[in-house]
Amino acid sequence: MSILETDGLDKSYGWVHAVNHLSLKVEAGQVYGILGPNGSGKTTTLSMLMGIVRPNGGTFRWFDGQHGPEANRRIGALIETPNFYPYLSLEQNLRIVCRIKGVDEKDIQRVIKLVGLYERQRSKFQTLSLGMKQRLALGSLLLGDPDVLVLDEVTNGLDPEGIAEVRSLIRQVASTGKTIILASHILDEVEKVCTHVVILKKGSKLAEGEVDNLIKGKEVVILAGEDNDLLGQALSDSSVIESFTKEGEEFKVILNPESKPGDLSKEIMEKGIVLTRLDIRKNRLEDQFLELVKQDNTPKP
Amino acid sequence: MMKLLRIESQKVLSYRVFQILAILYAGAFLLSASVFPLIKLNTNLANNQDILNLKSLYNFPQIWDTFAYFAAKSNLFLAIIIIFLVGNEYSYNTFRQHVVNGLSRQDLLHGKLIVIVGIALVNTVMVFVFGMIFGLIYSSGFTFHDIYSHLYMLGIYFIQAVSHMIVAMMIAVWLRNKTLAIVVLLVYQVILEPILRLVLNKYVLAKVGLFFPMRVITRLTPMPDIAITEMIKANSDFKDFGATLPLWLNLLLALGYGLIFYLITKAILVRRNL
Repeated sequence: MSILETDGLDKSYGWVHAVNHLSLKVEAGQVYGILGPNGSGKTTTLSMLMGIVRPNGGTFRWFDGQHGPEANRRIGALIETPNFYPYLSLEQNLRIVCRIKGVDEKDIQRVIKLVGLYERQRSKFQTLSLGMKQRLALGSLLLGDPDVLVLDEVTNGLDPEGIAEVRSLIRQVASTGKTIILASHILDEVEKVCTHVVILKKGSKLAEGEVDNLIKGKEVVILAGEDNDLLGQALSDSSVIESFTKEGEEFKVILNPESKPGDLSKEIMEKGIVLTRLDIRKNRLEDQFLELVKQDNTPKP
Repeated sequence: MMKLLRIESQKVLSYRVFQILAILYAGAFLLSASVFPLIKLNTNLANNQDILNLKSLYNFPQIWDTFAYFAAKSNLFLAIIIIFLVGNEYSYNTFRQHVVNGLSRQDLLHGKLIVIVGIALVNTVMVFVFGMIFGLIYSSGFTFHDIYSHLYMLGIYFIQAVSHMIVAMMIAVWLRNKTLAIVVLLVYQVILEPILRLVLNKYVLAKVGLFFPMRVITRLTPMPDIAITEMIKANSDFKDFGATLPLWLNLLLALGYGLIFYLITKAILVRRNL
Protein backbone atom coordinates (compact mmCIF):
# COMPACT_ATOMS: atom_id res chain seq x y z
CA MET A 1 0.00 0.00 0.00
CA SER A 2 1.33 3.40 -0.81
CA ILE A 3 1.43 5.74 2.16
CA LEU A 4 2.32 8.89 0.29
CA GLU A 5 2.41 9.92 -3.33
CA THR A 6 3.32 13.33 -4.63
CA ASP A 7 3.04 14.42 -8.20
CA GLY A 8 4.91 17.48 -9.45
CA LEU A 9 4.85 19.24 -6.10
CA ASP A 10 6.09 22.78 -6.62
CA LYS A 11 6.71 25.82 -4.45
CA SER A 12 8.36 29.16 -5.02
CA TYR A 13 8.98 31.93 -2.52
CA GLY A 14 9.41 34.95 -4.73
CA TRP A 15 12.56 34.30 -6.75
CA VAL A 16 13.52 31.20 -4.84
CA HIS A 17 12.30 27.97 -6.34
CA ALA A 18 12.18 26.03 -3.07
CA VAL A 19 10.69 22.81 -4.42
CA ASN A 20 10.83 21.97 -8.11
CA HIS A 21 8.22 19.53 -9.48
CA LEU A 22 8.92 16.87 -6.92
CA SER A 23 7.37 13.45 -7.33
CA LEU A 24 7.83 10.88 -4.60
CA LYS A 25 6.33 7.60 -3.58
CA VAL A 26 6.56 6.16 -0.09
CA GLU A 27 5.37 2.62 0.56
CA ALA A 28 4.13 1.23 3.87
CA GLY A 29 6.92 0.08 6.15
CA GLN A 30 9.66 2.10 4.50
CA VAL A 31 11.97 4.36 6.43
CA TYR A 32 12.21 7.04 3.80
CA GLY A 33 14.95 9.62 4.01
CA ILE A 34 14.86 13.02 2.39
CA LEU A 35 18.49 13.98 2.20
CA GLY A 36 19.89 17.29 1.13
CA PRO A 37 21.98 20.22 2.24
CA ASN A 38 20.45 23.21 4.02
CA GLY A 39 18.07 25.08 1.75
CA SER A 40 17.41 22.12 -0.53
CA GLY A 41 13.65 22.22 0.11
CA LYS A 42 13.26 19.45 2.69
CA THR A 43 11.30 21.46 5.22
CA THR A 44 9.23 23.16 2.53
CA THR A 45 8.31 19.76 1.11
CA LEU A 46 7.25 18.41 4.51
CA SER A 47 5.40 21.66 5.28
CA MET A 48 3.36 21.25 2.11
CA LEU A 49 2.63 17.61 2.93
CA MET A 50 1.39 18.61 6.39
CA GLY A 51 -0.79 21.45 5.07
CA ILE A 52 0.98 24.45 6.57
CA VAL A 53 2.41 25.71 3.29
CA ARG A 54 0.30 25.96 0.16
CA PRO A 55 1.93 24.43 -2.93
CA ASN A 56 2.01 26.51 -6.13
CA GLY A 57 1.44 23.38 -8.15
CA GLY A 58 1.25 19.63 -8.07
CA THR A 59 -0.70 17.28 -5.85
CA PHE A 60 -0.09 14.88 -3.00
CA ARG A 61 -2.10 12.08 -1.47
CA TRP A 62 -1.73 10.41 1.90
CA PHE A 63 -3.06 6.92 2.55
CA ASP A 64 -4.39 6.31 -0.95
CA GLY A 65 -6.34 9.49 -1.29
CA GLN A 66 -6.87 10.98 2.15
CA HIS A 67 -6.00 14.61 2.49
CA GLY A 68 -5.90 17.38 5.04
CA PRO A 69 -6.82 17.20 8.73
CA GLU A 70 -8.12 13.61 8.67
CA ALA A 71 -4.83 12.37 7.24
CA ASN A 72 -2.76 14.57 9.57
CA ARG A 73 -4.42 13.05 12.64
CA ARG A 74 -3.08 9.65 11.58
CA ILE A 75 0.46 11.00 11.28
CA GLY A 76 2.90 12.00 14.00
CA ALA A 77 4.82 14.94 12.60
CA LEU A 78 7.54 17.22 13.84
CA ILE A 79 8.45 20.05 11.49
CA GLU A 80 11.48 22.20 12.37
CA THR A 81 11.16 23.13 16.05
CA PRO A 82 9.07 21.73 18.90
CA ASN A 83 6.07 24.05 19.24
CA PHE A 84 4.36 24.13 22.62
CA TYR A 85 2.83 26.65 25.00
CA PRO A 86 5.71 27.76 27.26
CA TYR A 87 3.42 28.56 30.19
CA LEU A 88 1.67 25.17 30.22
CA SER A 89 3.08 22.03 31.81
CA LEU A 90 4.27 19.15 29.66
CA GLU A 91 1.19 17.19 30.56
CA GLN A 92 -1.17 20.07 29.69
CA ASN A 93 0.60 20.57 26.39
CA LEU A 94 0.25 16.91 25.50
CA ARG A 95 -3.40 17.01 26.53
CA ILE A 96 -4.02 19.64 23.84
CA VAL A 97 -2.37 17.37 21.26
CA CYS A 98 -4.52 14.43 22.41
CA ARG A 99 -7.68 16.50 22.05
CA ILE A 100 -6.73 17.57 18.52
CA LYS A 101 -5.88 14.04 17.43
CA GLY A 102 -8.78 12.44 19.23
CA VAL A 103 -6.42 10.25 21.25
CA ASP A 104 -7.22 8.98 24.75
CA GLU A 105 -5.46 11.18 27.30
CA LYS A 106 -4.29 8.06 29.14
CA ASP A 107 -1.67 7.68 26.40
CA ILE A 108 0.19 10.72 27.80
CA GLN A 109 1.69 8.67 30.63
CA ARG A 110 3.02 6.07 28.21
CA VAL A 111 4.81 8.48 25.87
CA ILE A 112 6.11 10.74 28.61
CA LYS A 113 7.79 7.72 30.20
CA LEU A 114 9.04 6.56 26.82
CA VAL A 115 10.94 9.81 26.25
CA GLY A 116 12.18 9.97 29.84
CA LEU A 117 10.31 13.06 31.00
CA TYR A 118 8.03 11.40 33.56
CA GLU A 119 9.54 13.28 36.51
CA ARG A 120 9.16 16.59 34.69
CA GLN A 121 5.57 16.20 33.53
CA ARG A 122 4.30 18.96 35.81
CA SER A 123 7.08 21.40 34.87
CA LYS A 124 6.30 24.22 32.53
CA PHE A 125 7.53 23.71 28.99
CA GLN A 126 9.64 26.87 29.18
CA THR A 127 11.80 25.37 31.95
CA LEU A 128 13.02 22.51 29.74
CA SER A 129 16.43 22.32 28.10
CA LEU A 130 16.60 22.21 24.31
CA GLY A 131 17.20 18.46 24.29
CA MET A 132 14.23 17.87 26.59
CA LYS A 133 12.01 20.02 24.38
CA GLN A 134 13.03 17.92 21.41
CA ARG A 135 12.27 14.74 23.34
CA LEU A 136 8.86 16.08 24.36
CA ALA A 137 8.16 16.81 20.69
CA LEU A 138 9.09 13.22 19.87
CA GLY A 139 6.81 12.01 22.63
CA SER A 140 3.98 14.15 21.35
CA LEU A 141 4.20 12.70 17.87
CA LEU A 142 4.03 9.17 19.28
CA LEU A 143 0.69 9.94 20.97
CA GLY A 144 -1.97 7.56 19.74
CA ASP A 145 0.66 5.32 18.19
CA PRO A 146 0.34 6.66 14.62
CA ASP A 147 1.25 4.47 11.64
CA VAL A 148 3.29 7.17 9.98
CA LEU A 149 5.93 9.47 11.44
CA VAL A 150 7.25 12.58 9.71
CA LEU A 151 10.47 13.86 11.20
CA ASP A 152 12.30 17.00 10.16
CA GLU A 153 15.89 17.28 11.40
CA VAL A 154 14.98 15.57 14.67
CA THR A 155 18.49 15.34 16.03
CA ASN A 156 19.17 19.06 15.65
CA GLY A 157 20.42 20.58 18.87
CA LEU A 158 20.80 17.27 20.69
CA ASP A 159 23.98 16.13 22.39
CA PRO A 160 25.65 12.92 21.12
CA GLU A 161 23.86 10.84 23.72
CA GLY A 162 20.53 12.40 22.73
CA ILE A 163 21.25 11.76 19.07
CA ALA A 164 21.98 8.10 19.77
CA GLU A 165 18.80 7.81 21.85
CA VAL A 166 16.66 9.38 19.16
CA ARG A 167 18.12 7.17 16.45
CA SER A 168 17.56 4.04 18.47
CA LEU A 169 14.01 5.21 19.15
CA ILE A 170 13.45 5.66 15.41
CA ARG A 171 14.85 2.21 14.65
CA GLN A 172 12.73 0.72 17.39
CA VAL A 173 9.59 2.35 15.98
CA ALA A 174 10.56 1.32 12.44
CA SER A 175 11.00 -2.29 13.54
CA THR A 176 7.32 -2.39 14.45
CA GLY A 177 6.48 -1.93 10.78
CA LYS A 178 5.63 1.77 10.87
CA THR A 179 6.40 4.09 8.00
CA ILE A 180 8.84 6.89 8.75
CA ILE A 181 9.64 9.87 6.57
CA LEU A 182 12.79 11.55 7.77
CA ALA A 183 14.38 14.73 6.45
CA SER A 184 18.01 15.29 7.27
CA HIS A 185 21.14 16.98 6.02
CA ILE A 186 23.29 14.40 7.78
CA LEU A 187 24.18 11.54 5.50
CA ASP A 188 25.31 9.36 8.35
CA GLU A 189 21.88 9.65 9.95
CA VAL A 190 20.06 8.66 6.78
CA GLU A 191 22.46 5.78 6.19
CA LYS A 192 21.99 4.50 9.72
CA VAL A 193 18.22 4.54 9.92
CA CYS A 194 16.70 4.71 6.43
CA THR A 195 15.82 2.00 3.95
CA HIS A 196 15.02 4.36 1.08
CA VAL A 197 16.21 7.82 0.22
CA VAL A 198 15.65 10.72 -2.11
CA ILE A 199 18.44 13.25 -2.49
CA LEU A 200 17.39 16.83 -3.01
CA LYS A 201 19.32 19.80 -4.19
CA LYS A 202 17.82 23.25 -4.66
CA GLY A 203 14.37 21.71 -4.62
CA SER A 204 15.06 19.18 -7.37
CA LYS A 205 15.40 15.44 -7.10
CA LEU A 206 18.97 14.32 -7.77
CA ALA A 207 18.65 10.64 -7.03
CA GLU A 208 16.23 8.20 -5.46
CA GLY A 209 16.35 4.59 -4.42
CA GLU A 210 17.32 2.09 -1.78
CA VAL A 211 19.89 3.32 0.66
CA ASP A 212 21.98 0.16 0.19
CA ASN A 213 22.36 0.77 -3.52
CA LEU A 214 22.58 4.50 -3.50
CA ILE A 215 24.78 5.66 -0.72
CA LYS A 216 25.84 2.79 1.50
CA GLY A 217 29.63 2.88 1.71
CA LYS A 218 31.27 0.11 -0.26
CA GLU A 219 34.44 -1.44 1.03
CA VAL A 220 37.61 -0.11 -0.50
CA VAL A 221 40.90 -1.99 -0.39
CA ILE A 222 44.25 -0.38 -1.07
CA LEU A 223 46.80 -2.85 -2.45
CA ALA A 224 50.43 -2.77 -3.47
CA GLY A 225 52.62 -5.72 -4.51
CA GLU A 226 56.23 -6.51 -5.26
CA ASP A 227 55.25 -6.88 -8.89
CA ASN A 228 52.50 -4.43 -9.70
CA ASP A 229 52.09 -5.61 -13.31
CA LEU A 230 51.30 -9.10 -12.12
CA LEU A 231 48.98 -7.71 -9.46
CA GLY A 232 47.19 -5.61 -12.05
CA GLN A 233 46.70 -8.69 -14.20
CA ALA A 234 45.31 -10.63 -11.23
CA LEU A 235 42.87 -7.82 -10.40
CA SER A 236 41.58 -7.71 -13.98
CA ASP A 237 40.80 -11.42 -13.75
CA SER A 238 39.34 -11.24 -10.27
CA SER A 239 35.73 -12.24 -9.71
CA VAL A 240 35.30 -10.60 -6.31
CA ILE A 241 35.88 -6.96 -7.20
CA GLU A 242 33.68 -4.39 -8.81
CA SER A 243 36.38 -2.06 -10.10
CA PHE A 244 39.92 -0.90 -9.47
CA THR A 245 42.08 2.07 -10.27
CA LYS A 246 45.84 2.47 -10.16
CA GLU A 247 46.97 5.40 -8.12
CA GLY A 248 50.72 5.77 -8.25
CA GLU A 249 52.26 2.61 -6.85
CA GLU A 250 48.98 1.50 -5.31
CA PHE A 251 45.71 0.00 -6.47
CA LYS A 252 42.42 1.26 -5.15
CA VAL A 253 39.98 -1.63 -5.32
CA ILE A 254 36.23 -1.55 -4.77
CA LEU A 255 34.83 -4.91 -3.79
CA ASN A 256 31.61 -6.52 -4.88
CA PRO A 257 28.93 -5.89 -2.27
CA GLU A 258 28.84 -9.58 -1.35
CA SER A 259 32.62 -10.06 -1.13
CA LYS A 260 34.97 -9.61 1.80
CA PRO A 261 38.58 -8.35 1.73
CA GLY A 262 39.60 -11.87 2.79
CA ASP A 263 38.22 -13.29 -0.46
CA LEU A 264 40.42 -10.95 -2.48
CA SER A 265 43.51 -11.67 -0.39
CA LYS A 266 42.98 -15.40 -0.80
CA GLU A 267 42.60 -15.09 -4.56
CA ILE A 268 45.84 -13.11 -4.89
CA MET A 269 47.81 -15.44 -2.62
CA GLU A 270 46.65 -18.42 -4.66
CA LYS A 271 48.33 -16.76 -7.67
CA GLY A 272 51.56 -16.53 -5.70
CA ILE A 273 51.70 -12.74 -5.63
CA VAL A 274 53.38 -11.15 -2.63
CA LEU A 275 51.64 -8.08 -1.28
CA THR A 276 53.58 -5.26 0.32
CA ARG A 277 50.47 -3.47 1.41
CA LEU A 278 46.85 -4.34 2.17
CA ASP A 279 44.78 -1.59 3.66
CA ILE A 280 41.04 -1.83 4.19
CA ARG A 281 38.96 1.28 4.55
CA LYS A 282 35.41 2.42 4.32
CA ASN A 283 34.59 4.68 1.44
CA ARG A 284 34.24 8.22 2.72
CA LEU A 285 30.47 8.55 2.53
CA GLU A 286 30.43 12.22 3.22
CA ASP A 287 32.67 12.76 0.17
CA GLN A 288 30.45 10.60 -1.96
CA PHE A 289 27.36 12.53 -0.93
CA LEU A 290 29.03 15.86 -1.52
CA GLU A 291 30.15 14.56 -4.90
CA LEU A 292 26.57 13.66 -5.76
CA VAL A 293 25.23 16.99 -4.65
CA LYS A 294 27.97 18.90 -6.46
CA GLN A 295 27.59 17.06 -9.74
CA ASP A 296 25.28 19.45 -11.48
CA ASN A 297 26.94 22.46 -10.01
CA THR A 298 28.66 23.25 -13.29
CA PRO A 299 27.23 26.37 -14.89
CA LYS A 300 24.82 25.67 -17.69
CA PRO A 301 25.47 27.29 -21.06
CA MET B 1 -17.38 22.25 18.84
CA MET B 2 -16.91 20.61 22.26
CA LYS B 3 -13.49 19.50 21.15
CA LEU B 4 -12.45 23.05 20.22
CA LEU B 5 -13.89 24.34 23.49
CA ARG B 6 -11.81 21.83 25.46
CA ILE B 7 -8.68 22.71 23.52
CA GLU B 8 -9.15 26.47 23.93
CA SER B 9 -10.10 26.35 27.60
CA GLN B 10 -6.88 24.48 28.39
CA LYS B 11 -4.87 27.24 26.72
CA VAL B 12 -6.79 30.25 27.97
CA LEU B 13 -7.57 29.49 31.60
CA SER B 14 -3.96 28.71 32.57
CA TYR B 15 -2.60 31.80 30.84
CA ARG B 16 -1.31 34.27 33.43
CA VAL B 17 -1.84 37.36 31.27
CA PHE B 18 -5.46 36.31 30.77
CA GLN B 19 -5.98 35.72 34.49
CA ILE B 20 -4.55 39.12 35.40
CA LEU B 21 -6.44 41.05 32.71
CA ALA B 22 -9.68 39.26 33.65
CA ILE B 23 -9.27 40.18 37.33
CA LEU B 24 -8.36 43.77 36.42
CA TYR B 25 -11.38 44.02 34.16
CA ALA B 26 -13.82 42.68 36.75
CA GLY B 27 -12.17 44.77 39.48
CA ALA B 28 -12.32 47.97 37.47
CA PHE B 29 -15.95 47.35 36.66
CA LEU B 30 -16.91 46.60 40.25
CA LEU B 31 -14.97 49.59 41.58
CA SER B 32 -16.44 52.10 39.14
CA ALA B 33 -19.91 50.69 39.72
CA SER B 34 -19.59 51.07 43.49
CA VAL B 35 -17.92 54.45 43.55
CA PHE B 36 -19.99 56.21 40.91
CA PRO B 37 -23.23 56.58 42.91
CA LEU B 38 -21.27 58.08 45.82
CA ILE B 39 -20.11 61.04 43.72
CA LYS B 40 -21.78 64.30 44.61
CA LEU B 41 -21.12 67.23 42.37
CA ASN B 42 -21.84 70.57 43.91
CA THR B 43 -22.17 72.86 40.99
CA ASN B 44 -23.13 76.02 42.91
CA LEU B 45 -26.36 76.12 41.01
CA ALA B 46 -29.88 76.08 42.31
CA ASN B 47 -29.35 75.76 46.04
CA ASN B 48 -26.66 73.12 46.01
CA GLN B 49 -28.94 70.66 44.35
CA ASP B 50 -27.26 67.63 42.95
CA ILE B 51 -28.37 68.32 39.42
CA LEU B 52 -26.66 65.26 38.01
CA ASN B 53 -28.55 62.94 40.29
CA LEU B 54 -26.24 60.04 39.60
CA LYS B 55 -28.18 57.69 41.82
CA SER B 56 -31.06 57.73 39.37
CA LEU B 57 -28.80 55.82 37.01
CA TYR B 58 -28.93 52.88 39.38
CA ASN B 59 -32.67 52.51 39.39
CA PHE B 60 -34.34 49.71 37.52
CA PRO B 61 -34.67 49.72 34.56
CA GLN B 62 -32.13 52.46 33.81
CA ILE B 63 -29.36 50.54 35.56
CA TRP B 64 -29.08 48.19 32.55
CA ASP B 65 -28.25 51.12 30.27
CA THR B 66 -25.76 52.39 32.84
CA PHE B 67 -24.04 49.08 33.43
CA ALA B 68 -23.91 48.15 29.76
CA TYR B 69 -22.24 51.51 29.19
CA PHE B 70 -19.75 50.97 32.03
CA ALA B 71 -18.86 47.48 30.86
CA ALA B 72 -18.47 48.61 27.26
CA LYS B 73 -16.05 51.34 28.35
CA SER B 74 -13.55 48.59 29.17
CA ASN B 75 -14.09 46.51 26.05
CA LEU B 76 -10.65 47.56 24.88
CA PHE B 77 -9.33 45.28 27.65
CA LEU B 78 -11.15 42.36 26.07
CA ALA B 79 -9.85 43.27 22.62
CA ILE B 80 -6.30 43.28 24.00
CA ILE B 81 -6.83 39.88 25.65
CA ILE B 82 -7.85 38.51 22.24
CA ILE B 83 -4.78 40.04 20.61
CA PHE B 84 -2.62 38.33 23.24
CA LEU B 85 -4.30 34.97 22.71
CA VAL B 86 -4.15 35.10 18.91
CA GLY B 87 -0.66 36.64 18.86
CA ASN B 88 0.59 33.80 21.08
CA GLU B 89 -0.48 31.23 18.51
CA TYR B 90 1.83 32.91 16.05
CA SER B 91 4.76 33.60 18.37
CA TYR B 92 4.67 30.03 19.75
CA ASN B 93 4.07 28.59 16.26
CA THR B 94 1.16 26.69 17.72
CA PHE B 95 -1.34 27.51 14.95
CA ARG B 96 1.14 25.76 12.70
CA GLN B 97 1.50 22.83 15.07
CA HIS B 98 -2.29 22.52 15.42
CA VAL B 99 -2.65 22.13 11.66
CA VAL B 100 0.20 19.60 11.58
CA ASN B 101 -1.56 17.69 14.36
CA GLY B 102 -4.83 17.65 12.48
CA LEU B 103 -6.97 20.75 12.96
CA SER B 104 -8.26 22.52 9.87
CA ARG B 105 -7.58 26.21 9.42
CA GLN B 106 -11.31 26.70 9.84
CA ASP B 107 -10.97 25.02 13.26
CA LEU B 108 -8.29 27.53 14.26
CA LEU B 109 -10.69 30.35 13.50
CA HIS B 110 -13.66 28.71 15.17
CA GLY B 111 -11.59 28.00 18.28
CA LYS B 112 -10.89 31.70 18.63
CA LEU B 113 -14.51 32.53 17.92
CA ILE B 114 -15.51 30.23 20.78
CA VAL B 115 -13.11 32.10 23.07
CA ILE B 116 -14.59 35.43 21.96
CA VAL B 117 -18.17 34.33 22.51
CA GLY B 118 -17.20 32.70 25.81
CA ILE B 119 -15.55 35.85 27.15
CA ALA B 120 -18.48 38.01 26.01
CA LEU B 121 -20.92 35.61 27.64
CA VAL B 122 -19.10 35.55 30.98
CA ASN B 123 -18.95 39.34 30.94
CA THR B 124 -22.61 39.68 30.15
CA VAL B 125 -23.45 37.39 33.05
CA MET B 126 -21.14 39.42 35.31
CA VAL B 127 -22.87 42.64 34.30
CA PHE B 128 -26.24 40.99 34.93
CA VAL B 129 -25.27 39.82 38.42
CA PHE B 130 -23.81 43.18 39.45
CA GLY B 131 -26.77 44.95 37.86
CA MET B 132 -29.19 42.93 39.96
CA ILE B 133 -27.22 43.55 43.16
CA PHE B 134 -26.78 47.29 42.67
CA GLY B 135 -30.29 47.69 41.32
CA LEU B 136 -31.78 46.06 44.39
CA ILE B 137 -29.62 48.24 46.67
CA TYR B 138 -30.29 51.59 45.01
CA SER B 139 -33.74 51.28 43.47
CA SER B 140 -36.83 52.12 45.36
CA GLY B 141 -40.38 51.33 44.38
CA PHE B 142 -39.80 49.35 41.21
CA THR B 143 -42.03 46.80 39.57
CA PHE B 144 -41.07 43.47 38.11
CA HIS B 145 -41.51 45.04 34.69
CA ASP B 146 -38.91 47.66 35.57
CA ILE B 147 -36.35 44.94 36.17
CA TYR B 148 -36.56 43.34 32.76
CA SER B 149 -37.79 46.12 30.50
CA HIS B 150 -34.26 47.30 29.64
CA LEU B 151 -32.59 43.94 30.03
CA TYR B 152 -32.15 43.84 26.22
CA MET B 153 -29.25 46.24 26.74
CA LEU B 154 -27.25 43.25 27.97
CA GLY B 155 -27.86 41.50 24.65
CA ILE B 156 -26.66 44.60 22.87
CA TYR B 157 -23.61 44.74 25.13
CA PHE B 158 -22.91 41.10 24.23
CA ILE B 159 -22.96 41.85 20.50
CA GLN B 160 -20.80 44.91 21.09
CA ALA B 161 -18.18 42.93 22.99
CA VAL B 162 -18.16 40.18 20.36
CA SER B 163 -17.77 42.55 17.42
CA HIS B 164 -15.06 44.55 19.18
CA MET B 165 -13.11 41.34 19.84
CA ILE B 166 -13.56 40.21 16.23
CA VAL B 167 -11.90 43.45 15.11
CA ALA B 168 -9.00 42.61 17.45
CA MET B 169 -8.80 39.04 16.14
CA MET B 170 -8.68 40.25 12.56
CA ILE B 171 -5.84 42.66 13.28
CA ALA B 172 -3.87 40.01 15.20
CA VAL B 173 -4.30 37.39 12.45
CA TRP B 174 -3.36 39.95 9.82
CA LEU B 175 -0.20 41.20 11.58
CA ARG B 176 0.79 37.97 13.43
CA ASN B 177 2.45 40.09 16.11
CA LYS B 178 0.99 41.06 19.50
CA THR B 179 2.72 44.38 20.05
CA LEU B 180 2.13 45.62 16.54
CA ALA B 181 -1.51 44.53 16.65
CA ILE B 182 -2.15 46.35 19.94
CA VAL B 183 -0.56 49.53 18.58
CA VAL B 184 -2.54 49.33 15.34
CA LEU B 185 -5.82 48.73 17.19
CA LEU B 186 -5.22 51.63 19.58
CA VAL B 187 -4.04 54.03 16.89
CA TYR B 188 -6.98 53.20 14.66
CA GLN B 189 -9.65 53.25 17.34
CA VAL B 190 -8.44 56.23 19.36
CA ILE B 191 -6.72 58.45 16.78
CA LEU B 192 -7.12 57.50 13.14
CA GLU B 193 -10.83 56.79 12.88
CA PRO B 194 -11.95 59.78 14.98
CA ILE B 195 -9.85 62.14 12.85
CA LEU B 196 -11.09 60.53 9.67
CA ARG B 197 -14.68 60.84 10.85
CA LEU B 198 -14.19 64.47 11.77
CA VAL B 199 -12.66 65.33 8.40
CA LEU B 200 -15.21 63.39 6.37
CA ASN B 201 -18.12 64.81 8.35
CA LYS B 202 -16.89 68.30 7.75
CA TYR B 203 -15.74 68.18 4.15
CA VAL B 204 -17.49 65.29 2.48
CA LEU B 205 -20.82 64.37 3.93
CA ALA B 206 -22.32 65.18 7.27
CA LYS B 207 -22.96 62.16 9.49
CA VAL B 208 -20.98 59.78 7.28
CA GLY B 209 -18.69 59.34 10.28
CA LEU B 210 -21.48 57.63 12.16
CA PHE B 211 -21.13 54.62 9.87
CA PHE B 212 -17.49 53.90 10.67
CA PRO B 213 -16.92 50.53 12.38
CA MET B 214 -15.46 51.63 15.71
CA ARG B 215 -18.05 54.37 16.02
CA VAL B 216 -20.84 51.92 15.28
CA ILE B 217 -19.49 49.39 17.73
CA THR B 218 -18.69 51.73 20.60
CA ARG B 219 -22.00 53.58 20.33
CA LEU B 220 -24.15 50.50 20.73
CA THR B 221 -24.33 51.32 24.41
CA PRO B 222 -24.70 55.11 24.48
CA MET B 223 -23.83 57.24 27.43
CA PRO B 224 -26.79 57.24 29.82
CA ASP B 225 -28.90 60.35 29.57
CA ILE B 226 -27.86 62.54 32.39
CA ALA B 227 -27.55 66.28 32.68
CA ILE B 228 -23.92 66.29 31.67
CA THR B 229 -24.53 64.51 28.36
CA GLU B 230 -27.30 66.98 27.67
CA MET B 231 -24.90 69.78 28.36
CA ILE B 232 -22.31 68.40 26.02
CA LYS B 233 -24.85 67.75 23.33
CA ALA B 234 -26.04 71.33 23.56
CA ASN B 235 -22.54 72.59 22.95
CA SER B 236 -22.19 73.04 19.22
CA ASP B 237 -18.49 72.14 19.18
CA PHE B 238 -19.38 68.59 20.09
CA LYS B 239 -22.18 67.94 17.65
CA ASP B 240 -20.62 64.65 16.64
CA PHE B 241 -20.40 63.59 20.26
CA GLY B 242 -24.06 63.16 20.91
CA ALA B 243 -25.26 62.36 17.42
CA THR B 244 -26.00 58.72 16.96
CA LEU B 245 -27.81 56.42 14.58
CA PRO B 246 -31.04 54.76 15.63
CA LEU B 247 -30.29 51.73 17.79
CA TRP B 248 -31.70 49.19 15.33
CA LEU B 249 -29.53 50.54 12.51
CA ASN B 250 -26.45 50.65 14.73
CA LEU B 251 -27.10 47.06 15.79
CA LEU B 252 -27.52 45.92 12.20
CA LEU B 253 -24.32 47.68 11.16
CA ALA B 254 -22.40 46.18 14.08
CA LEU B 255 -23.56 42.69 13.13
CA GLY B 256 -22.62 43.40 9.52
CA TYR B 257 -19.16 44.63 10.47
CA GLY B 258 -18.67 41.62 12.74
CA LEU B 259 -19.55 39.29 9.86
CA ILE B 260 -17.32 41.11 7.35
CA PHE B 261 -14.32 41.11 9.72
CA TYR B 262 -14.90 37.44 10.46
CA LEU B 263 -14.88 36.65 6.74
CA ILE B 264 -11.71 38.71 6.20
CA THR B 265 -10.00 36.85 9.06
CA LYS B 266 -11.08 33.55 7.53
CA ALA B 267 -9.77 34.52 4.09
CA ILE B 268 -6.39 35.47 5.56
CA LEU B 269 -6.13 32.32 7.67
CA VAL B 270 -7.17 29.95 4.93
CA ARG B 271 -4.98 31.37 2.17
CA ARG B 272 -1.78 32.25 3.92
CA ASN B 273 1.06 29.88 4.82
CA LEU B 274 1.31 29.26 8.54
